[in-house]
Amino acid sequence: MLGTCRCVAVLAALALGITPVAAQTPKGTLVFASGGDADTLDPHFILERPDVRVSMHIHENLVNFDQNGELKPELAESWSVSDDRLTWTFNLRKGVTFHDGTPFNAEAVKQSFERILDPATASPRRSIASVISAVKVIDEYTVALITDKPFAPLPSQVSMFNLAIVGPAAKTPGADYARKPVGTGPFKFAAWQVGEKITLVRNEAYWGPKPAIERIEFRVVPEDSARVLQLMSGEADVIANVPPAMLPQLKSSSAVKVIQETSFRTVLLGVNNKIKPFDDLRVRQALAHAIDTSSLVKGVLRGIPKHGGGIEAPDIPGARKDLPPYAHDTAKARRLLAEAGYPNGFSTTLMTPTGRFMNDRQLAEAIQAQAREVGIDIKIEAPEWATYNTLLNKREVPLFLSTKGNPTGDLDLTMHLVAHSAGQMNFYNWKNPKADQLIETQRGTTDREQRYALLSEIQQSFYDEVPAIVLFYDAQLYAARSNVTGVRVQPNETVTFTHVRKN
Amino acid sequence: MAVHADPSASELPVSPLLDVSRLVVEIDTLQGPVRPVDGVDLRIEAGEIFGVVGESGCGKSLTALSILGLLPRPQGRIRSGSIRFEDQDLARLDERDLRRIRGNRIAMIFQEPMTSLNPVLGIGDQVAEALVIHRGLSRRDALAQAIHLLERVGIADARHRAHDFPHRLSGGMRQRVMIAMAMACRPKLLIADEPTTALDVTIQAQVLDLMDDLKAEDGVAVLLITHNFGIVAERAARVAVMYGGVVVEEASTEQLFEQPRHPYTHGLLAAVPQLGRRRDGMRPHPLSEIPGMVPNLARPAPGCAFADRCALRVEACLRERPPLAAVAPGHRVRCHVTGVSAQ
Amino acid sequence: MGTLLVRRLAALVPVILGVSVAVFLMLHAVPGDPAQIIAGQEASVEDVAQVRHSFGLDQPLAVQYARFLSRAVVGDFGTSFRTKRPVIDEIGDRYGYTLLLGAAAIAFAVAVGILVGVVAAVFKHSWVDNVCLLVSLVGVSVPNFFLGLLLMLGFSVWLQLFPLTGADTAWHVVLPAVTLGLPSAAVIARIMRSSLIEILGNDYIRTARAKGLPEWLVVGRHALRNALMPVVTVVGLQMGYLLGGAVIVETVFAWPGLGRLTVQAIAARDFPVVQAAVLVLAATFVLVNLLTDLVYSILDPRVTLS
Repeated sequence: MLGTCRCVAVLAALALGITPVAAQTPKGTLVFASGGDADTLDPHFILERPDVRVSMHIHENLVNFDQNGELKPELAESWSVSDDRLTWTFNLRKGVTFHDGTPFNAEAVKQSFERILDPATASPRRSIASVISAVKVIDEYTVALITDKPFAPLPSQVSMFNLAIVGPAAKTPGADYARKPVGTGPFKFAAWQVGEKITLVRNEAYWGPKPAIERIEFRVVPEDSARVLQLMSGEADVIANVPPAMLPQLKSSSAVKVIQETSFRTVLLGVNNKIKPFDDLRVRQALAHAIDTSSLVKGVLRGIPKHGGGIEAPDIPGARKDLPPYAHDTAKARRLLAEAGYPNGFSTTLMTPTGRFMNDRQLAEAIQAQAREVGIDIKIEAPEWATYNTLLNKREVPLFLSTKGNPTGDLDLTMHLVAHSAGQMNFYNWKNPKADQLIETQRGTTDREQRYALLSEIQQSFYDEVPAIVLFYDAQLYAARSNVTGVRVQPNETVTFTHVRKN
Repeated sequence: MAVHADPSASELPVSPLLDVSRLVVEIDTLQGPVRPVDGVDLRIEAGEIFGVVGESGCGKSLTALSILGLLPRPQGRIRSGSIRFEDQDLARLDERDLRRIRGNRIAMIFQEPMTSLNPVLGIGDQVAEALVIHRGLSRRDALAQAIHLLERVGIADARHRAHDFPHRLSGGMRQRVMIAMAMACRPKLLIADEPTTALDVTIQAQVLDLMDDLKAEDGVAVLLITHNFGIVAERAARVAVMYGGVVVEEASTEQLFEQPRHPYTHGLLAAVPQLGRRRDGMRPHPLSEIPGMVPNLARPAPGCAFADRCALRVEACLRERPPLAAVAPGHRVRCHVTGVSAQ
Repeated sequence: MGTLLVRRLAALVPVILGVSVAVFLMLHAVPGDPAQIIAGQEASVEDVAQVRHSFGLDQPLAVQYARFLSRAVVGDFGTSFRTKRPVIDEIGDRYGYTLLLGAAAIAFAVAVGILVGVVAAVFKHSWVDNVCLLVSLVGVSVPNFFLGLLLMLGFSVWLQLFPLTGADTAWHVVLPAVTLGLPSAAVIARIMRSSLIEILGNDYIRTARAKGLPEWLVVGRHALRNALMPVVTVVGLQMGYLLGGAVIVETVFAWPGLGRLTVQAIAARDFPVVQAAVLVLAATFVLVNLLTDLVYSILDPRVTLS
């Protein structure tokens, strides 16, 4: 309701032709407006997207993804794994320095990894690094990461933003690294006006091609409509999280352009496999057949995201592209319910967050209406985010809307979190010993095709046993002034401005 | 002695300080416009104390307010008549010209000393204000003079008290401040609307004595409005009795008390238990002893306003309004019966 | 007066103490485990336990509160769960902005409210009065965020007079302050109007007129100050409203104020920040009320601080 009002004001303005003479930002400066301020710029503590966006311009990883989702060298020029598959050797780039002038070398890499692994650091993301049992300096520019068990996805694991290489400055006690990060990246930290903006300036000593722009301002503009106004008025060059309702208008304006990208994030209707009657596969199948995902995408989501049936977004390397959504078939759903002993349906509860992903609340209501068609009476609960998370973690809610992203672009990360019976995000209470075993096996399988085949099997079981009903794969909506080129919105939900040019 | 239909020409040849003539005041009410003042005639000589007596609602206060152009706005207005004061008709002056007269040549003090002073301003400042406006004095000079004035009205330690706020003062003191304020610009006419009604008896006398003194010293004429015959008897040289928006009798104080003509005046005097120049007789008395009610303003009768309550009523009283006619030098009565029969 | 002031300030202590206990208990009663929230959905059990321990949340409640209180007494409010910065810095960065916005908003509300109220009262029942009443009705009814967006559209996007969002320059405060202050201005205008009309009916106003004062002096010198008394009360109450409304306005205009920080902190269960922010807001509110009383005693000599 509030959102509608907000949109109305902006739409009215756009309709009235109040398209202003833009107040241009300085030529060398890129102003990016998003909804939230960063909490920390220390990669070892980063948990939220606003932090990642800034940090990844300052810090770099040994390995990173290119635009096609393929691993490419970054601070490491090449890497290899030992025959016992336990030692990963990285040959480091030479002539790289941190922003404070200290040289980047094997010792710096060791210190960085040991910092996140040290329990005294109290990193909330220590587990990301915990497969690494030791870091060994071979020589000035060669470093080895050692694991206890074979871990095939290690190169993609070290591309995770939490495993970016922090400068030796992070070690200095009281350095307040979270506020004064020192990386090797194309931009240097310059200033942080808390709650307002973070400014980065170009790293003139950058080892790679120098960015065309001299400064980036990450501005905090929490209100969706205000962000759109900023873009329209030219006070911002790029904005994140465009409200879907404003897409047509923005698309019709010649001053701005919409940047729409797919993402590795799956939005799903989680089912608690332990709670009756959802412990019965037929009931889960019935629910899947009751829900018409294509009409959800068209009706509630304006046709923006893609939909499909696989738990992993099809763009992720190794993800199944051939799993369609369960067919919308209410007759079949009713039959399955009857077979399971619920010819007259039943009542249950669906928990949804509000405003955390695209039209989440409306989505829950549409699902409620579709389920009613087959006699499933859904009550919606919409607690605020922190409560939602706590309830999710207790795993006592029968139905819930939730999402899963994939920051590394490697299926291991999410499969382990979501599908493993001990997975932290297995909110479905799905226990499949075979899947657990497959997950462990693929970790030790360095042959890519062989590994993907194992992962494919897990996805198939997840699809067949429907511990969750996949609704759609999220879309990322950015918009930019039309003179801005080179904004790279990545499917792992990061965005880089290193290649931006302003004409 | 003959009846003088137009007594002003023959009996008072010198032009008076204030000459209110056939003043009609109209007030809008929910029932439509009414005329609480419906043809009042008053004349006040320079330096005299002139009393106006009547029950509440007789129009005496509105008459006083209309002299200064202070009728409630926007619902009140002077409908007709004139208010001549020093060669000007106040009824025809615009607001700006009236402001030059208010507090300057005509000043007014009110019934309620407790509420007539601004609670948030120092009394010295309130007295000084008129001097700044009318005399163009600086604030500092005006305040010095205000202190002087306060001393003159009997405020002890005026220099310090000038900075006091009204709530620190007793009722009598406040009325003294009001008087100081009114006298600031040495007005020619002071309108005192029930100046002592809210005060207790001993204070009443002090305040009235003060007014007497000022009259003697400054030669200011006082229009003393009251419902208390005792005060009038003691202080006023001449008296007008008002009823139903008109003056029903006007005479010197002696004449009125010794030979009251109008039946209403009779009634009023009869209602005062002990008539005469007695100090303790100044207590306000309700004039409820006269049978009947104050006339309904919304439906005025064509004849004499008092006719309903009058024991001497004749047929003409209901039909025709009697004129204010002289029955003796300086004594005028508005009555078909007693106004004509006098010799 | 001095001692009275000290006594009034001393009364702050139990208020703050009470608020701190209440906030502490409420935070711990509300569902939502800070460690889980901070660590995120994908955090391992060990990660969450690590975070919980680092926050001291594995201690008994009484121990946690005692530790909070003993540190708070010496001005140490701990570190933010989210940013790991000292809470004092977190609040310090934002508090100035909130005060600036609040002060600007209340200044605007008082100036406009009094002006409109006086004009409406002086011209009561005329078309001027009706226009003022209509405007103030709109002012009270329009939701803050909507008003904010309208002002942005009109003054930033269209007329390009003021910047859209942020807090870089003095110009940045104008639109948020107007947005935040307008509903209060409307309330003040209505109170001002009715109060002034009532005051203008007083005997001492008649006295002032009888003195020959021009009408502007009668209103300005004699009526206004008296008529301001109820306005001061309302302004005091509006300050509380402003503290609440600031959250929305701060969000719309991306103003880096305490309101937004508090809401974020509540959402993230950042206990130390919430605790300190609520205490600061409560103290501000109490001080503002004291200030109101002070203004009252200055305006009206009959009132003393007690």
